[in-house]
Amino acid sequence: MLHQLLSSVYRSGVVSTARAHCDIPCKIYDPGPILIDALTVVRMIDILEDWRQHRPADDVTFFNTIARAVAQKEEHAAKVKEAVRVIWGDYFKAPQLQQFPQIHELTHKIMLEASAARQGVSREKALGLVELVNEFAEIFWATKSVKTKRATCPYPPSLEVVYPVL
Amino acid sequence: MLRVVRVGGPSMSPTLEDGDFVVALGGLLAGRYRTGDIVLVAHAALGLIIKRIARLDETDAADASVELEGDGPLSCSRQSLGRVPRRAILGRAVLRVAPGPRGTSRLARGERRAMI
Repeated sequence: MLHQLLSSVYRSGVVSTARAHCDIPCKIYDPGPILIDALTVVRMIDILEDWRQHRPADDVTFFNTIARAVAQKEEHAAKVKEAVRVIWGDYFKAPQLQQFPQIHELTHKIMLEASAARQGVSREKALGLVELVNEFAEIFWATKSVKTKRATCPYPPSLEVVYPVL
Repeated sequence: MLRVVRVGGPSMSPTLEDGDFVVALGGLLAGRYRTGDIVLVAHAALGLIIKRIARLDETDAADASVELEGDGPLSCSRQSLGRVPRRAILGRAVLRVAPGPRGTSRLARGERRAMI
């Protein structure tokens, strides 16, 4: 009864809302998928180069594959940006930031490098992106006192990737 | 001063549910704040929020601060809410107006949530 009354008052816009709300703090954070996204960017650039060198006679087949590879490159570079922002924004809090103040600059560099990877087809830039994400992963695991190792991923583009030693 | 606000979100569940209304006393009417009080806070980063006082400085210093927490498991942590200056507290929730059988009830002072 009283609630109904207040509800109608609320709808009039007089009563404000006090937020008792936050993101669900699920605490599930892992840079592993980000590295796979960064590797995918390199892989797509390699596939584009491969098709440049072995261009089929049929234009439609050629453009189709180019379009698909470019679309994947775009998508995975964007995923890198989003996932890094989430870990940086949601996981890193005062204690982690004090321990690793360079995370701000590193995160920003990843944003720029991932954008460069979207805009162009520079393998060098994409390799730079993988390395930055590797550094990001090393810092992430260090905040949890988890050791890491660098190993060559057992699939193309066969680059050195940071893995947690659990 | 008297304020009426609508609760948005689950972080104060089961004490306050999404959509409940709360009447809060501000200024001198609020009295002295205590640990366990449910308070309306003008949070620098989160805006107007409603949370429970988890800890407070027992001083009257101008820079006295409080720590806040939600009752529900989905609330953001005390750490992420940070220490909030005492002056950011706008009032103490005294009455809950809920729909249906939960109805209207007084919010007792310093009532802490049951430990799970």
